[in-house]
Amino acid sequence: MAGHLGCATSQQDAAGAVTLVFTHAKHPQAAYLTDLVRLFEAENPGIRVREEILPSSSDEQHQFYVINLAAQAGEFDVLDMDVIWVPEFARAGWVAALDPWLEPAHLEPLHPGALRADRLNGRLYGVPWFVDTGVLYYRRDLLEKYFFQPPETYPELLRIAREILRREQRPELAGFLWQGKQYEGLVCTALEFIRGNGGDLLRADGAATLADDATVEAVQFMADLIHDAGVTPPLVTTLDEESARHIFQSGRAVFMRNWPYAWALLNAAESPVASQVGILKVPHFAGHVSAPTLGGYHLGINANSRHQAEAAALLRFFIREDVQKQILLKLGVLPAHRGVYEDPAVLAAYPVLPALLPALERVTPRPVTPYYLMISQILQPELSAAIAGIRTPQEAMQRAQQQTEHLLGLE
Amino acid sequence: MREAVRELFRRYALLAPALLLVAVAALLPVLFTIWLSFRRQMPIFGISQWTGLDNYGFLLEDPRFWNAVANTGYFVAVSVALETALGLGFALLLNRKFPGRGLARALVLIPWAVPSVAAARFWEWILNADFGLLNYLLGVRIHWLGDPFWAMHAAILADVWKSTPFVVILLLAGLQLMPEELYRAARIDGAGPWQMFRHVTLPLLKPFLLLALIFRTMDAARVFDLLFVLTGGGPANQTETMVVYSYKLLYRTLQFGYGSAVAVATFAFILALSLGYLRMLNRAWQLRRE
Repeated sequence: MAGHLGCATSQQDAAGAVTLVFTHAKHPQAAYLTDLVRLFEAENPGIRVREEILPSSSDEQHQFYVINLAAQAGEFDVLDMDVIWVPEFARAGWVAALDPWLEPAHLEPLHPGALRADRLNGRLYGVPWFVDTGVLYYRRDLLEKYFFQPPETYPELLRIAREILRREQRPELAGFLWQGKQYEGLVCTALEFIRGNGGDLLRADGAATLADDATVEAVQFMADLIHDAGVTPPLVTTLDEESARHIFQSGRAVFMRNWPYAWALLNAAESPVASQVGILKVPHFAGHVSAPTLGGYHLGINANSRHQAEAAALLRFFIREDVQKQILLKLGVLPAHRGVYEDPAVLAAYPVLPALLPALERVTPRPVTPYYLMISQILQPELSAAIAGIRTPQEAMQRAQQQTEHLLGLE
Repeated sequence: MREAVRELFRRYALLAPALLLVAVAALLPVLFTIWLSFRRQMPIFGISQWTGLDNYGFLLEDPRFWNAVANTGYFVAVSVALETALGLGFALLLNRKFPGRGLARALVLIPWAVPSVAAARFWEWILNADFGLLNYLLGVRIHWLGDPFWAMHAAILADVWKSTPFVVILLLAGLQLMPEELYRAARIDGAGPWQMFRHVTLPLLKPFLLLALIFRTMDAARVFDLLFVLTGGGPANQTETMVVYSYKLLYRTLQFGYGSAVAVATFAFILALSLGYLRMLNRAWQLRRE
């Protein structure tokens, strides 16, 4: 602490302890998070942590960070970032590179798919503390009733859904629900179709590949699910996560693409589909592999923080196995640490975890580029146009490609 | 003479704090936005340079911008027309004497008192294709918010519900100021109810109608919260208005320069509309005075 004696800032109290400001999203189990923060303080007597809580809307958090980070404000040290902001903040120089603070031993146990979202130009700018992955929910009872095996590929899913719809003869039953509203969730879903067909949005060298055959084919398949196969109802263009879950939970859908949070709700005592639901990694097309979209939150350090060493200690604390275990048990979100998924005590409390592992092992971040949010803004209306039948997928993706090329030329 | 100058000086000195407040609170941000609109300003890439009219040149060719202009124009025209017509009807009704009028007047105001975001949230439920009240009442299965045609009209419906009360209050105030003797005179002249409305009520109400139109048009032209919550601009940007587009540019993708250019264009659009109305309003007040 000697280095700090000369500059008695407001962030140091009389005892010479450093006060870290930890800005994070409002969490439904906030009290437990505070317990973890107190535990960190007990372990690190020289450091106090003040939590600063942002609204739960991701848009508002982004706005808060952009305004404060762009103004070079150093009032907070540790920040909680949606995974897609990491490359943006890193490119802007707003978050510090973490390589000096973290050993391979700290990172090695974390899910590699989640960590990939934190690397830009070979340096690390964040660490995952909550992970999220796209998963496929299915009605085990309905599949068993007609002797179907859970599907591996999209064409299999289509065949099963179509057959069940035909035999059940219930007009209110939908085959396959996913997030089709014009918003970020649509991009998350579409990426799973696109990458499951060997396509992507950007090539390794950064060039846009939105109108490539593999990409267009995948989007065509999404549109065909609605307009050709009738397996996905047209109301998918209004669905976000929660509205899809409501329909699935009321027993009116065979398959649903969603995130793991839905599992507990679908199996709650009052849920009509409790214990009739199975969970799978998202499908893919023949000859390719499943590529569930990564979600979740990552911790980073404000580049203007004057307490980076102490901030790094807080980051190391939150990715430690025992703390990650508490994050699952107390906060109810999926931890990034792989060891937690093998812990017998955890498995007893969360028997669904082994079913999530295949998805987590394949989880893929959205393109890790500072341009991602802009590309997503271009993609959302074009994907929406393709699935609403306003433009052909070919035409829509061609337009998205042109706009993205223009964008990439701006820098 | 000297006394007059001193008096003038005193007047402006007393006005100064108010003027300063207006300048700081209203004028500075506007000027700053205009200044930004001539720059390429992308903090993520550390880009900050003067580009003159480049942003406006791009704006002229940006189909997404023109789509937003068309959506805004359609939203304003249809919602304001409906709100004015309905508002006039309700105001005339509430101006009559009937039992429970006080209660009815209070009830009509409720939608106006509901915050937009809250209103948008429950309209989202009403309009839900799967279990929404509207489909249940109509016995149909329309995907109100997901269908490219219906989405804009569903949003207009929600706006009409929310904003008609505002027109009602303004027009009701106007109706209460109507001199009773004009109606008596018209009745003596043998005018029927329609003629009285057409030749007495309507001309006298004109300034109030125009006032309602100005406020509603300006408000509707910068519609944001309702659409942002209901559809986020979708499907396929069919409900993306100018303000929603500039919000996305500014806050989602951090293109401060171009986003400001879109904001300035929106400002010019609204200013042009209001200046047109103000001229009409001035003429109407003059007529009324005569």
